[in-house]
Amino acid sequence: MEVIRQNNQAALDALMQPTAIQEEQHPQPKVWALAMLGEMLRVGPPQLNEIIHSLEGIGDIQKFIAIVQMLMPESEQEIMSKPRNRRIYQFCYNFGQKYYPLPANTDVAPDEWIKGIPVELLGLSYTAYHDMNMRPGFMMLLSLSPYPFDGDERDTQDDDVPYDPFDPMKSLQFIADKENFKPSAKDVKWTRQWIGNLAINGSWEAPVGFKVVKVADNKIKITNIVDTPEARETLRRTILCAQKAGIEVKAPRIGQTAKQKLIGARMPYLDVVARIVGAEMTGKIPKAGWTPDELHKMTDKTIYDGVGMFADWACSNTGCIVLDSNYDDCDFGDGEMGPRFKWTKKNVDILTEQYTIVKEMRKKMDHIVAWLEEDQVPRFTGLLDLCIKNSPVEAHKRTKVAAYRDPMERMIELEQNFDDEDEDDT
Amino acid sequence: MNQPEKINLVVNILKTVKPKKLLIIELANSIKLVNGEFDYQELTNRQLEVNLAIDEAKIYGSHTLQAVDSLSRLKAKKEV
Repeated sequence: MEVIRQNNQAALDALMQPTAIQEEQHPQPKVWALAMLGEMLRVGPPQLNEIIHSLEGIGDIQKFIAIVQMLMPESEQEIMSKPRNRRIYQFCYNFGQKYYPLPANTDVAPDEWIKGIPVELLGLSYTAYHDMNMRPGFMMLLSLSPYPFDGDERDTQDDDVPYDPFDPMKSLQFIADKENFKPSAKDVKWTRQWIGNLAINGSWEAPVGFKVVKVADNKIKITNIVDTPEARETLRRTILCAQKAGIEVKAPRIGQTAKQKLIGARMPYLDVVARIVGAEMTGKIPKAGWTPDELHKMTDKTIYDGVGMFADWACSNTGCIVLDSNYDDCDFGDGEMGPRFKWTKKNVDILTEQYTIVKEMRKKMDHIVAWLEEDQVPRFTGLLDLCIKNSPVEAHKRTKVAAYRDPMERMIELEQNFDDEDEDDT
Repeated sequence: MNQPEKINLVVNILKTVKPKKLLIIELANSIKLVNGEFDYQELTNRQLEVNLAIDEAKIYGSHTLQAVDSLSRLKAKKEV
C-alpha cells in the first residue's frame, strides 16, 4: 500500500511540475555528452565480468532486438550499432521521433528495459486527494470539483492514524479529565520498563485500540489507532508517560476518521480556499461542488478556460489512460515497485494516439493553475464570481455527485506484464 | 619464521603459479559477432560449452578475488 501511495504522490508531483520545465530538464538531443568520448578512448582488454555478462545476457538482448524490430525495424541497425550503454538512449531518441517522448530513465540495463514500457500514470488518486500535498492552484481548483471518490469503500474505514495522537481530544465533544492527569514516577518507571523490554521492531497492542512499535532504542511509533474516547484518552496518557520517560514518540502521518471522510471529504479544500477568499465566498460554492460539465459550460472560452479540463482530470473523466489512471488501478508483480506494461504494438499505439491530447490538456491545466497562483485573491475571486453567477440551480440542490470512479471498473486498459508470464509474447 | 620471511615465501609461491588460459576467452574469440553482440544462434548451439566456460570463469574469478583479498591484508615489507 505504501509503495502505491508513493507512486501516486510521485506522479502528482510530476503533474504539478509544468511540462515546459520537464522538457527543459529532460532534453533528448541526438548529440551525446563529451563524457562519451572519454569512455570510448578508454581502451584495454575486456573485463572477465563483461564477457560473462555478454554471454549470459544474450537472451535479454534478443528480446530487446525483438522489441526494436516490432516498433522501429528501420532503426535496428542504428540502435544496435551504438555502444551497449547508449542503446537505450538511442532507442528512446528514435522512439520519441516516431511515436511520443518516453518518460524514461535511459540509464537502465536492457534486461530491466525489456520488462515493460515506462508509463507515468498521472490520474488523481484517493491517497493523494486526502494527503493534500499540492500546489495552491490545485487546491483552489479541487475546491470547485465534486469529491471524485464518493462511494469508495476506503471512506468507510478509519485511516491507520485517524487523528493527531499528540492532541487526541482536539475537535472532540468528549472531554476527559485531561487537565488532571500527570504521569507519576511509578507510571514513568513502568513505561520505561515495558518499552525497554520490547525488541527493536517489536510491538505491543493496547487492548483499547492502538499499537506501539519500538523503532529504535528510546523511540516508538504509534499506529493502528481506533477512534473511541477510551483509545484517545489512553493514547494521550501513554504519550505523556513516554515523553516524561525520555522516549521519543514518532509522529505518524495523520489521516482522517471514516466519519470525517463521509461527511466532509471536500471540507479541507474549502478551508484552504476560505483562507484565500474568505468564508463568505466559499459558502456560496455548492455543497457537492460543480460537475466537470458544469464547469466546462461556465468557464470554457473565458479567461478561466482550463478549469473544466482540470475538473475532468480530478474526476478521471478525460478519456486518456495516462490522465485517468493511477497506481491503484493496476496490478504490481510480487516485490515490484511499480506496474509493468507490456511492450506491445497495441499498448504503444494507444499511448501514441492519446499523447497529443494529454499534452494539450496538461498545457491548459498548467496554464490555469499557474495563472491563478500568480495573483491568487483577485483571480480566484473572479473565477468564483463567474461560477456563482452562472451556477445552474440544480448544482445547489445536490448533496453529492454520483461517483466518477468505480475502482472495480477502472482497471487500466493497458496490457500488463507479470514475472510468471511468458515474456516472449512481445 | 618472521614477517619478511613469510612475505618472501608468498612471493615465491606466487611465482610458481602458472598462467591460466580460460575457456571463456577462447570461446569469446571464436564466436561470430552480430551488431556488436555474440551470435545468438551459435551461442544456443554451443550452450554446454558456454555454461562450462562461464562456470570456470566465475570460479576462477572468485578464487582470484580471495587471493587478492588475502594478499592485500599482508603488511608491506620494510625496505632495507
